[in-house]
Amino acid sequence: MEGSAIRSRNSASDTRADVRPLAELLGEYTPAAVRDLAALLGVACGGTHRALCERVARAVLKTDRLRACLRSLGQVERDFLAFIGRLGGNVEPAQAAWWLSCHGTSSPLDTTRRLIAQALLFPFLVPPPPADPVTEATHSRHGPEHSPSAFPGALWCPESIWRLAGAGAPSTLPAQPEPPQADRGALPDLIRDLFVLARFLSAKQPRMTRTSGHLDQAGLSELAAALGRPQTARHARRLEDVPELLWLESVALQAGLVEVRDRRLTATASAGALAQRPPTEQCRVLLEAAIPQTGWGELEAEKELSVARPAALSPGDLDVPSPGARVRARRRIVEALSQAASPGAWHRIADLAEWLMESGPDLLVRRRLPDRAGATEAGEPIYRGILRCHAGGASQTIGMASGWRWVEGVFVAQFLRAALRRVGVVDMADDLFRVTDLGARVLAGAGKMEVAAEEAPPPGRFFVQPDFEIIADGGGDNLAAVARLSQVADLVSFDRAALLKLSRESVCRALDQGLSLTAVVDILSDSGRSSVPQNVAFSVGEWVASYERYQVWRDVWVVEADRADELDSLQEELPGCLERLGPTAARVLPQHRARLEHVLGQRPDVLTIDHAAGLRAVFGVDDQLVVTPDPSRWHWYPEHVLSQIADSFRAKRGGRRYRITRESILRALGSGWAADEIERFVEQCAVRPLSAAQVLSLRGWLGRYGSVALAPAVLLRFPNDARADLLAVPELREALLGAISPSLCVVRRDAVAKVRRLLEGAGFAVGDELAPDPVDGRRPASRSTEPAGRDHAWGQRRWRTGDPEETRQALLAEVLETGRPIAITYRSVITGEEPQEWVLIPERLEDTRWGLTRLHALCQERDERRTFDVSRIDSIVVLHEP
Amino acid sequence: MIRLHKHAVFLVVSDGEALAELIATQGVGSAIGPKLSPTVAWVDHRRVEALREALRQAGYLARSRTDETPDAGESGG
Repeated sequence: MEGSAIRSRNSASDTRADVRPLAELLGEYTPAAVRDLAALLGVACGGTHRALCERVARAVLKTDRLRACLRSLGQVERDFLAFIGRLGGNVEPAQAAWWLSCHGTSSPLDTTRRLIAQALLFPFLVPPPPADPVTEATHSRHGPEHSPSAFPGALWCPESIWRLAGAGAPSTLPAQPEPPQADRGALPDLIRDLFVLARFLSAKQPRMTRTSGHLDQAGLSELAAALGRPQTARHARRLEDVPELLWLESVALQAGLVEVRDRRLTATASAGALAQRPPTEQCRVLLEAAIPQTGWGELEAEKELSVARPAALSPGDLDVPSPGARVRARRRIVEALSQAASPGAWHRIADLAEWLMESGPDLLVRRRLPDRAGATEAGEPIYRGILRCHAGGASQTIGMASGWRWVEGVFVAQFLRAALRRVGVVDMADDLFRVTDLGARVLAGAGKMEVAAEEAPPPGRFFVQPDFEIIADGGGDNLAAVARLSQVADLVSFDRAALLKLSRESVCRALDQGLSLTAVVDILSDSGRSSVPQNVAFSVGEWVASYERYQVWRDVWVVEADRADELDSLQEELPGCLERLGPTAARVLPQHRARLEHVLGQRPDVLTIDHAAGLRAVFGVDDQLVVTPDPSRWHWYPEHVLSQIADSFRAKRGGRRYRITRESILRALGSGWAADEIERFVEQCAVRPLSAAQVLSLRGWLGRYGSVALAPAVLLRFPNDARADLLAVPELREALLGAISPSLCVVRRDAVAKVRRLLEGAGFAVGDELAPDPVDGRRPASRSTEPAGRDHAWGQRRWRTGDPEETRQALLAEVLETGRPIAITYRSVITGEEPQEWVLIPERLEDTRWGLTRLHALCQERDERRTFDVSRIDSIVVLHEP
Repeated sequence: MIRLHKHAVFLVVSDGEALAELIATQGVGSAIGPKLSPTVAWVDHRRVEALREALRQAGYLARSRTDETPDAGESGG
């Protein structure tokens, strides 16, 4: 490494005048002078004279003197300087204190001072941050004499020193004897699980929970059963409780094999393709997905650790690693494997963790200086918010130096076991690991590993039977063959053996995806390595031939002319651009679309129709729903549709017309047209918006409306100022079915006499001009087929506070179904606890996520929609039939 | 007059009789528009999937093609 970090931050602003006093100081080189020098360097580095600082330091650090100094150091101190070298020459006080504590130094401060006094280590100032009262208070409370923090800023070890102290690239990990048993890299199992997951999601599209964003319990059980984990299927409640499946879901999402659409998990096209890729590529894709995943955490998966938030700390003060820190740590582990591990050799996980620790302490958590809120009794800073759990349920804090292996070390081990072994990068055995050949090939991109060439894929193990069934080995290494076969055949079952069924539909689906007959036969014969029964080969050929017999061309450009000679001349003008479909139509070859559009743009008699954009304004519609085409915009499509949904006739003037009638609509509905399609077509293609009467007729014929009923009614009209007094009388209120205006109410027919008696008793002069009979000169027929007395029964139906809840629910459900108006007494939150009466037409009930039930209803009196909390309704009275 | 149809859909069959048979098939005919030639006919672009499903139920399988789809002989695996 040429040059130090300080030199890299060089400034060109030093001056010769600054050099002189420092050079004089060097001539009187004594430990005291070095301390002064350090102070000067600190001042210089804290200012703008870093180049000067380095020049002076070089003079101080003459090689002979350095060798003598280094000889006087102990091994830990030499290692410390080497450690700083590995960090690039600069170390923060917290990191220095941590490293020295980790290596058994009783007083990190004294060690650091000694190195500074020998001019092997230099403190330099970092410009102080803006004044922060909290920080200042913390510093003043704890004092400067705890640790290397006594030296503000950072510590610098020049390159000439740490090179002599022995730093350089960390050595490779020591090899260990081969263990008797090992868990091999599980890539084939993982690919199989992902394949099953994708199939499961394609078939079920399970919901994700709103809170956790993972599969809900039902989906989890079904997935666990599909993956062959019956225990999990029976007992798991949340995906978060099954780290293995949580990891699988997270990796699949990260790798783009599945996606969330409308809160449902669905498989993407990449899911099927992954199984057919070479193992190295599979491993690389999944390793890249395993590194940045955020839905799963190594520390959370470790049962001996728990994350807890001390009351005194805010979330920002916790040492629980952020998602970004986890990703950086995983990348460092992968890089460490490529640099320090030997392919095929067994290594200890602890050695890898130590290697990582020596090459940089802040693997997961940034080192801190101790403070009173977060230090062990020995003054060692702790991991804030991460506790170690013991068997009895007790938990204890973890020191950052003494507990490295419990946090960072555990992270390394979990990442190896849970991620790297599953993607096939390593084999595991207790506390040992080994980089596999596959892993070495993948890691070769990240480091300098020597790798062996990839072996050719083994032949697929499957048999095509004469009954069109294909039986394949369901083992992980045969999965690529199964995935290939599932392109041309339907996967019926998949377990230890996979059963697939070849059919005309499955072959045509493969052809739709762009496979040719040759490719289909190649897949079925495993590229000629196995035979396909003669009848199967013959049928597949037949299916392909029949498939070619009918071709639906979509998204094409077609030029159509009124006469063949018009198209002939256009074809002469644009040779090679058109492919004739018939005398008056030709397909535009895609590469010539722009040219054709340019030529046609210069002609006046061209109509461009974009079918994807939908037709607009191609005909007029009169009040009788008679359609008059606009000749300038008319073409086959509106004519084709109208010929099916309307009756055509020839007008005396103006040519062909179409009349939309009830019969023509019924005929179209009977021949497969959907009501939506017809309504949308007419509304979009009409030049002007349809009138209200046209819309009413069209929708009525399309069956949009339910049945309606007409009935004579008894109305009570009263002066506005009497309204409140009248409605305050309970007997009168019960006799009214609802208000149709501020001064008009509908009276229950069986209560007319009672209302008359009440009103006359109160001194009202009751007139009969609003009496019900007759209507249109006829006596009203019986209003419904319901039994007599039904009105009375409905008028009495009510619910009051204290009645069973079921009665209220049943009453509301019935009212919603029948559309009957209701009068409720409601205690609004806004108006206090004073109940108010509302006459409503209920529209729907809604269950909120907070467990409340809301009633959405139309308030006729105010002509507005309102929402009511059902629990605040004191009484419900059903008023009358619609 | 010349009409340029963008994003149009048409059906190509191997022989004229097959097209006449399709048009006469219940549920299929309403999605097929006027003929452009004895073996080519417009298709209602809004009813393509319904047409394919009706064809499938009637025992026919139609190949779906676009300008980008290679001919059967050209496509690879």
